[in-house]
Amino acid sequence: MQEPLNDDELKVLLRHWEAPAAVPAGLKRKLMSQVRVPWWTWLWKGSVPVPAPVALAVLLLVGALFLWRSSAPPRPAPEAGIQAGLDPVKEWKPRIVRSAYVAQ
Amino acid sequence: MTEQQFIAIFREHKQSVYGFAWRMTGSLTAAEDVTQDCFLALWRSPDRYDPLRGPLRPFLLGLARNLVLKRWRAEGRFTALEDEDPVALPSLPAFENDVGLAVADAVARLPPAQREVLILAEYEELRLDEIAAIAGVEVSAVKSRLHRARENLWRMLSNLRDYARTIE
Repeated sequence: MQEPLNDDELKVLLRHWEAPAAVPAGLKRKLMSQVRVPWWTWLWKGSVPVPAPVALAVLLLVGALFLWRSSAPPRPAPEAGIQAGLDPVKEWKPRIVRSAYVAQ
Repeated sequence: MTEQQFIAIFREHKQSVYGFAWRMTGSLTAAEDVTQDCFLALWRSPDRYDPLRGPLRPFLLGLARNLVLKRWRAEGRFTALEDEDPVALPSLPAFENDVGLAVADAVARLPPAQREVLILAEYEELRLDEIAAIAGVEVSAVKSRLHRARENLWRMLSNLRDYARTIE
């Protein structure tokens, strides 16, 4: 059985495993394309973190509003004349005014 | 964090993060993806880094380490990191022409828990407490894993002993 390596010998060997000298050339470009995102993409990709209690309270509020609106009795429809600002005529008494002019 | 600050951080730490990811995954493509995701995570959530808790580089390496584990899980080749027991590994044939390849092969054969502490200690030159924070274990566990990793490497690379002595 061979004698094992000591720490110094092991370190010497480990130094031979070198990482690539440089990161890929396109890495920065790819990264920055995701960093410099136009603001309007937020409209369909963005998210708003909302604490669960707040989200639950909003949901309950919306539900309560919906139930209240759907269970309230409907308001009576106003009569047509009143709606137009004209009271209905109770007794019609037309006054006939005769003209002095008589056709020949 | 401004864009200029972010670019400066990227320039300073990209090589370290990329090298670590490459050594952990053994893949240039995976290393590139992990590096990109690592810096994007910093850009999107800069508040996750607290300068009071230590330098930025160990924080970035911790992000990269978690991204590597996530990839392994997604690829279905995740190995639990608790495998600290020393394993009986055969000696590798000596690669006279490429010692680096032999070392890479030997490190890749280490259990992941040993591999990550060895890479962080030997190649990234982090302190034991920094490695412990990244791996989420006690310093004593880091020492133990490092010791086992070296033992296993000694065994696997013993054929290169003569070579190591000639260049030491």
